[in-house]
Amino acid sequence: MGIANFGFAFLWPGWLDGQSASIWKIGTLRAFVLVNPKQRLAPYEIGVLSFAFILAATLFYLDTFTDIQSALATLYVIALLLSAETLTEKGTMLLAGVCIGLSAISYIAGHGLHGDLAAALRLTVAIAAMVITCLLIIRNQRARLALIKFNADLQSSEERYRTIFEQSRVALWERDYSQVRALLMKLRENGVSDLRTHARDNPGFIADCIARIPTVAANAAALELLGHVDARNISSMRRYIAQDDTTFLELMVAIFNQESSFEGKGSIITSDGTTRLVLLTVGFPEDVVNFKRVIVGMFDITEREMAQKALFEAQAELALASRAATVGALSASLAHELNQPLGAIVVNAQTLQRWLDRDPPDLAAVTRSAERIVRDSQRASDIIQSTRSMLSEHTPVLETISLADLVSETEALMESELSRNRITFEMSEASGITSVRAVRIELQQVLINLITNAIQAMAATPEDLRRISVSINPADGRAVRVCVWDSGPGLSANILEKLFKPFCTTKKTGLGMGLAICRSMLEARGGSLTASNHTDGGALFEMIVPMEAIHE
Amino acid sequence: MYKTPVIAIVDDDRSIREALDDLVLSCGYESRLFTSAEEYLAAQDRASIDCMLVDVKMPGLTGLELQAVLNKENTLKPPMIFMTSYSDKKTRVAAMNGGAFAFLGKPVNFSQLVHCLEQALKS
Repeated sequence: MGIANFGFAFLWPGWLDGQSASIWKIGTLRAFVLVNPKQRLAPYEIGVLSFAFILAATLFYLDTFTDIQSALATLYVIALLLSAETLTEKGTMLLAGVCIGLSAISYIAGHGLHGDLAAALRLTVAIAAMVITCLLIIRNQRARLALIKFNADLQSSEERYRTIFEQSRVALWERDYSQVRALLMKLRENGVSDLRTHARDNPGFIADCIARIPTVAANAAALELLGHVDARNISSMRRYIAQDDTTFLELMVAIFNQESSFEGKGSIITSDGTTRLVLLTVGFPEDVVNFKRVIVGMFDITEREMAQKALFEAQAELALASRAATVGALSASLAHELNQPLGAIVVNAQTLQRWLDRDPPDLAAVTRSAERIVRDSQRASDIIQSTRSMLSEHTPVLETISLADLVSETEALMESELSRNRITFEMSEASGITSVRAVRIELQQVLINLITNAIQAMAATPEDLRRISVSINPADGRAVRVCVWDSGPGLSANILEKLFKPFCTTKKTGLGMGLAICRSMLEARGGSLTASNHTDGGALFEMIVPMEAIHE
Repeated sequence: MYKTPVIAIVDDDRSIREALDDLVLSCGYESRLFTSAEEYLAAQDRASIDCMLVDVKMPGLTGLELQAVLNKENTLKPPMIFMTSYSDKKTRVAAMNGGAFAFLGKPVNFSQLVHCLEQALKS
């Protein structure tokens, strides 16, 4: 009995003292890390635990004090299973140990140390069942704990991702590319090999693709980029992407070709209608399933591009201005220097006439005057010569230049300007054009000038008609003709007449020195620059570039 | 007794100096050449000079400064004819206020200069 009471009291702590005492006991159990370290045990858990104890106690009583000839002790397994969820690993092991102890006590109480074989076997089976159950419970618990930890890690990883997504200053979207990918893959299956051609032949293709890319989520920076729009209004990007956007087509091509990522410069139209230039990056998932949530990053590079353009324009303007200033300073200095001998020549010539008009003419005086005229003329000529040689000291070196490369390079340089004005740029080169020997910067400056003029001339031309064609053709064997032809309104007779005169400009800002300097630059190298109206409309500028530039 | 008028030519440029010298000579006058205002002021026989042809812009004293110096002197000052490549209004007004006889632009208008010389010598 004493032993039974001890076990009862141990297994059923505080049951008789009421609820508060039982909670205190559980607090004690927790202190020994026997129950799960949760803030509070739920009432049902206390109930289950209590039931397990009652069961264990009842089993002990029946096993010890009745004569039932069966493996009652096996039923301790139920008590173990019931309390498995509430107890920790250590608690379960302790409980299993207690149960095994109790069944051993019952066995000794019932059969003594010399019990019969059947009873001993029953005890062994019961103990084996309890040990196995205990081990299974522990294994199960460990697996469960691992799963909980894994879930917690996953959750914190998701939280970190959310934080990065939401707080990032880079505009981020989560978009569902699965539909558009399916469409593209179907096209591929149907034998489409070049998506660009396909898009050109099917005008609605891009719009269709855009419509198939729903936005799953967008961060604050993304909403700001689109012009502080409401998150609910961006389910489709339809109104933010220009219908003929080439970057979007390139993105489709990247998916079509199953590339792993895409990066490109594009433009988006914000809610207030302004165009922002963005750097677009998309990383495509390896698993097709994940195309449902693809991260798209956009970085607003409008300011950077604008600054670059402004810098470029400022440099071009500065180059022109400094040339204009040089020309101005040079003319002023030349005018002053030449004024003296020329003034003297005029006076001498008129004095000479007076000597001749005398009767008889004073021929000795005439000779003196004539000699002075010759001397002063020589002096004027020397001034011009020395100015020229002084200038030629700063002449840049000649390079071997492929004009086609130079035109492409210049196009690349002006790419943002051309695309912003939606201008189609074409270049054609006749076969057999060889490189020329010229000063690269001079030719490039002329090209930039002509292209800039063409862009500005087409401001009022409908966007789909804006075109600049540059053609490179041979000219009389010793030179190359480079034509820059725009699709603008052409040049009026009035403008044509004074186009190349200094300070002739149709622009509000600008010195009006551009074309004058361009022409003098080309002429100084043995070339020329002429303007006319093309028979098919638009202005046509023709540069003649000698194969070998004059270089003094 | 008729005395051949003497014209002083003050100009730093040799070509101009010699051209004017010959012009003055062809008009039947005598000339005295000075390469600077300082050289003129240093001359001993300035009293014999009847008229001056003066360049405005010269190294050292300018034509206008020479005029100012001469105006301060008590001696009689010959009529001054200024010649300049920079015929701005301010310089012209300053010269005329200083008592210049004429103010001519360069390159010199030949007949205007001859006429000016005749008028200056008559006065």
